[in-house]
Amino acid sequence: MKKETIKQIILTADEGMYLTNGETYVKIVVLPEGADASVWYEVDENEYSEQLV
Amino acid sequence: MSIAEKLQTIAENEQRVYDKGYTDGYENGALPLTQIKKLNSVFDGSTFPENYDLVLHLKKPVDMQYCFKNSNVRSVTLTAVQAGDVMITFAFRDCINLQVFDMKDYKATITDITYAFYNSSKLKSIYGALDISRCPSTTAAFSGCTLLEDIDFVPNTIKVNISFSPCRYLNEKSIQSIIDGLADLTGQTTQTITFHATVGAKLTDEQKATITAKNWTLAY
Repeated sequence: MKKETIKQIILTADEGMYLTNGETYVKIVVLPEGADASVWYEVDENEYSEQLV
Repeated sequence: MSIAEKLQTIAENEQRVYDKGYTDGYENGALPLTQIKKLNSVFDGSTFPENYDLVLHLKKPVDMQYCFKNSNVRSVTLTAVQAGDVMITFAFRDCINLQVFDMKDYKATITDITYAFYNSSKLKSIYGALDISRCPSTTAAFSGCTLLEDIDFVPNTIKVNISFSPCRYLNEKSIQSIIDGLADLTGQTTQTITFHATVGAKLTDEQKATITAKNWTLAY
């Protein structure tokens, strides 16, 4: 029998918002435990739309 | 030299080799480009005949930066007799008619893939397992590849941030190959794999656990 415990940090953007690390814009980020979640921050859809131009 | 003239020259060279009974260990007379050292920018901006499927037989993989940029080729198949390294930086940038890139018999290890398929908006299939273990970056490699379905990686060869965010049609086999392609970064700096939101939503808990267990951040 094999037992594994995986811990993750899950960030979910609020409605109308996106998560970004300055390069990538997404709605959900799943980080391994111990990763630096602070590199991800929320921006509103307008900023996301602007970077698409 | 126009594309038609280049292709005519290749065909004539191939015929000459056959006529001479050349026996350098190649298969099917795949000799025409044995003297080619690089393919950088060779077909940059070229207009191929409509729906053209190009096949090149080389002695070994050669750098092909910007090779097909802004061309209208429909598919490219590369083969090689010997293994080697290849830089495909910008190779298919803005290759808006490209549907298939077949390198399964190319015996190539890719050393630079940045912008390789940038804006290849009709690209559906890349055949041949990609080994990108020596790529320092994958910046924009698949940007604009909105129709990509088939892609395959050598396991544990993806070591830096990589994004498939435009690729909503990746099939299950491709998704699993990407996950298997992620190297184990335990004890190293976390890198990020980005999928399209549709693809991310289809990942199983097991797949997500596999990704984070290898010290990768999943974003979608």
